[in-house]
Amino acid sequence: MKQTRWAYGFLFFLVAIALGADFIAGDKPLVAQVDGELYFPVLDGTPQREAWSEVPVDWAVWPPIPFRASSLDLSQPGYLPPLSRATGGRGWHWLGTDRLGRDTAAGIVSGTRVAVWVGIGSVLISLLLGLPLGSLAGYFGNDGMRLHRGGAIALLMGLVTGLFYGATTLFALAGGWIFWLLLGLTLVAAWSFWYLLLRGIARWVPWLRTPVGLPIDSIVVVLLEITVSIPGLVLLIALLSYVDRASLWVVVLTIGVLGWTPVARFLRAELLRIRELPYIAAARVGGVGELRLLFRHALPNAIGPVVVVAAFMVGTSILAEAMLSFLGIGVPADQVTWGSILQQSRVEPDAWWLAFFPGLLLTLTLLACNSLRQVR
Amino acid sequence: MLGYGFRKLLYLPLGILLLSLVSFVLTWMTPGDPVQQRMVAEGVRTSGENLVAYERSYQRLAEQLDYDLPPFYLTITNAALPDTLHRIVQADRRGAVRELALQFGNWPRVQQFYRALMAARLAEEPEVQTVARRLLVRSDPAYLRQQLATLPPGPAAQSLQTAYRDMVDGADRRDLLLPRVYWHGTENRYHRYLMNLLRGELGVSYADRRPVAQKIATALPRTVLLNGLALVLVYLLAIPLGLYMAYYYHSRFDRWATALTFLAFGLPSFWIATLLANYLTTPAYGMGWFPTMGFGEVPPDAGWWDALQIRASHLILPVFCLTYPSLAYVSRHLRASALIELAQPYVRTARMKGLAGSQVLWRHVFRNAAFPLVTLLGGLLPGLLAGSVLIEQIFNLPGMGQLLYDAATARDWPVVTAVVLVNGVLTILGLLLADIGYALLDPRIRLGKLPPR
Repeated sequence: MKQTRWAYGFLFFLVAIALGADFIAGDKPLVAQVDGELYFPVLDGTPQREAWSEVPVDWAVWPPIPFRASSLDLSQPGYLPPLSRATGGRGWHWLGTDRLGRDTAAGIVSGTRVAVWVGIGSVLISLLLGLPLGSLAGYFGNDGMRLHRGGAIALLMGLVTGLFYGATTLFALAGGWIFWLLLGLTLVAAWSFWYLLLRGIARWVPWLRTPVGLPIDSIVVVLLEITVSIPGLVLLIALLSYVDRASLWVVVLTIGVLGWTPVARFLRAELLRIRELPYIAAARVGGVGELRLLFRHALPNAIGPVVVVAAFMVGTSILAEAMLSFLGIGVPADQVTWGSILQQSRVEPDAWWLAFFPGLLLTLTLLACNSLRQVR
Repeated sequence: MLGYGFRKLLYLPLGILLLSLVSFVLTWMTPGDPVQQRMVAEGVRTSGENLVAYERSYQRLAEQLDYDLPPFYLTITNAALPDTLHRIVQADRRGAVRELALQFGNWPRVQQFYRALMAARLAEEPEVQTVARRLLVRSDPAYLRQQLATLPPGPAAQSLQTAYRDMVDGADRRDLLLPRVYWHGTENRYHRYLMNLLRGELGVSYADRRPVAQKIATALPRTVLLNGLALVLVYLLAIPLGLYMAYYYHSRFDRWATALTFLAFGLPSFWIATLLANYLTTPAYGMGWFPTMGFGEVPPDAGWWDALQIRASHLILPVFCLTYPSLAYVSRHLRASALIELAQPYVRTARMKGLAGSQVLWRHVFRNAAFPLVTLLGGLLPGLLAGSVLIEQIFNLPGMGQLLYDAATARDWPVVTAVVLVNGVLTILGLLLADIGYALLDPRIRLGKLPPR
């Protein structure tokens, strides 16, 4: 715990920067008095003025980095080194500028916001996919959920026929939520039909009455192996090149969907261990239902390590986003991120500050996330 | 053993079949009209001057590229739709006809209307022509009625309006409630695609009209060289490092090595690559020690030593950047598993027998601790391939990663899907080799006593 204190501290620091990005870097003053009236431009955005730097204020409190990440300053030669005075005498470029006079420090603050948002967003999506799959696979295994063979076949056939009918005819008939409602009803109807039919037949065919386990674990493990063997970045680049208008949402979604495996794998392993423990058997003997056992007894003990894995995955997601924006794929062109600043340093190797600062932040973030994983 | 390897080999065709499906769906989903993109690549002029000539060459190219065939072996669709809809190649027209068929449910009448439109688009009156061309891609009834009403009277307009009225009057939406399955046999696009794939034909690049297979054939050996070198280095260095870290547990060496590998695992390799490329390959800081681009040209009369020097000077930085994260990862894994093995009773037995430390370490501990390394190989391959996208980009090495990047930014879909496919096949091969290697090392796997992994 002592070793990871700095890691937690650093990650909280990043989140704080991301939350307070507008107060740290921006071309609007925090507080300004114009003609005897007080304004809080960062907070309310009104009154809409073209540029606050041109407004004759009585007095104003500016953010420590008085620039917006994407605002150009073509009045200066470009590639200003760190700690140089901005033209117009308004503030300092603490970490220098790029070719178009965009402030690096402001870019790093905006990049922090993107990184935190991508990291947390995609890990939430991964958790959304990985938690149910992992817990089902780990807790129920291949024979935890037993059905009569007829029931299992009815479930499968109901799903197949319902989806088949929905895709062919309902899709043509209705759109929007009515389609989903109809689809749900059709699925239920198809399932009930097959269930009743097979129940009738099962009276004469004892084979249908023998109980079988649903192979949930096998299915999830196969899914895991398929997803793991996908070269993630290659697929990400291919998928994102299909997207017409790049947006961060798509990046978050794809990273999140491709990243469910560590969560599921870990949760599955934990639950495989936990479900054999005596206290689960004791609770089961005490008459606790299976679902309640899973949610109340097994999951709370398994979830702690999984959260640590999730924290580790925040690092991988941020790295993936940095790689993508370094390549300029998937992330909007006007969005300044750590990766895009790093990319600019390739044009002008002399501007060491463009390569150094974003890379350093990225490294620290990754180290912080990795060290959470190490001590678990 | 042969039986086990054979069983595993059976997964290969299965995996390739699955991959071909995925990449077929990818080609299917590509934005834009594929025939038109191909026409641009072939250099066919696409001016709107001569519609008939344009559509004729469009149709010819579509037939040549099999776009007039059904997409898959079978079509599962609505009973109101015919099994010949795929013959309309242009996506916007097909969509409009599909919508009409779903609205009115009576396919023969809809077909009549479509034919009337197709005839009217070549009519003599220019007004009829423009309206017909506009209506070919529309399905909104109010718009259709309004546009048809504006037509000047004449035989062409007359037949068009009659066809429309017939379609509206003959509306019969009962078929909509039924599904229908059509079987097309092997005359379909996926089958042709798969057959081409098996013959090694991957299509033609939109960007420069070269066959994709040829582009990949030049790029693949370079990526394999790069990643192969990295992989060999990773294992050569990681095995002794990991073992000695475990052997000298909690010594100063172990503490330093652990800290360093932790750091190396956290340092993003593309950042280090950027820094190295910026500082060591450009004259900016007076440290331009390494050449900037590519794999280097070896003159034909150069001796092997010169050739090696040229290649090495180009490859040393990228291979280093590819190697060090995996090196850190593998050695840490090996250290962890060797620590577990070192605590086992058989190690104490071996020591009591009088074996030297290195003998215990390499003969006994290593063989047991090495199993995870083989499976790590399967996981490293996709990672290396992905990592080489950035490394190749940064060091200007024209390999698979560079190819993928260029194709993705230029929207050269045939190349993108082909690269995904080849990467997938490489990954499957890697996993397969890892599985077989694992079984070779550990007889328990062969006998099915332990799941591999």
